[in-house]
Amino acid sequence: MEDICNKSEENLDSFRLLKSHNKLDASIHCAYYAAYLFSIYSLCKNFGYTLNNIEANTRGKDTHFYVRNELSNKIGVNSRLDSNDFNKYIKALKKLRKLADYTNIRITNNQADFAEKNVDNLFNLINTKYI
Amino acid sequence: MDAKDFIKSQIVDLIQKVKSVSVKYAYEECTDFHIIEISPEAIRRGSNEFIDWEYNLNNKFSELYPEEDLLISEPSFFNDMRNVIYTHNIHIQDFRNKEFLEPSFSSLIKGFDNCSDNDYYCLAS
Repeated sequence: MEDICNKSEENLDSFRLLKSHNKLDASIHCAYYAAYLFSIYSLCKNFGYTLNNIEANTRGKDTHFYVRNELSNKIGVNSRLDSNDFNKYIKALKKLRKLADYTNIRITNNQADFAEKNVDNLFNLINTKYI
Repeated sequence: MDAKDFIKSQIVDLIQKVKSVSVKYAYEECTDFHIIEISPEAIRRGSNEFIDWEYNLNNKFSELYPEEDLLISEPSFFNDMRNVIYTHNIHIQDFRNKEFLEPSFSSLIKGFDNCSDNDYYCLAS
């Protein structure tokens, strides 16, 4: 399980490294995957999920959608405001990832800063209350 | 009912409950995101009625339209809101610094200047 956390942190470190070297387009999906992997870690560490049952429940389906929805619902049992915040952070990252990875629009410094703010907020929310 | 009509119906429900809320709903073509911008912050983060509405909308939208994306946020430079679908109670002070008021927007988000269907090409998801 700690491997998922380590992978998440490696993606976060990679985001910051790429961003600091002005490799902004490539940096964004690292920010998104850091958030996605940290969401899986929260589900497993705090809410009793296992990688096996996540895989079993998402066979042939959209795993990212499942993870986001499950964690959003679990957080929402404790705090609907936290759930709304979680959704906002991860969807802002997904939206930037779509721009970075699937269009020929270049990511700006401001957008990379915005990605950093969202991934930092998501990590802070989960680290503080949902690990 | 398609996703846009569903969102509009949900916004109508919201403004019946939270009369002083300001709402701007647009569809961002470049990313295929439905975006709802909400102000003021006192409502967005302080009204239990609004917080419940947002939570329920996220859940219902995910259930009904799992293939589509919805972002609910405060007004932000980083949303392309040019393709407006619905607005309610929009005041200049609520959306201060947004693109229609802020001449530097174009230089801030250069990519959106050239955003068109031709720019969107599908790679692996």
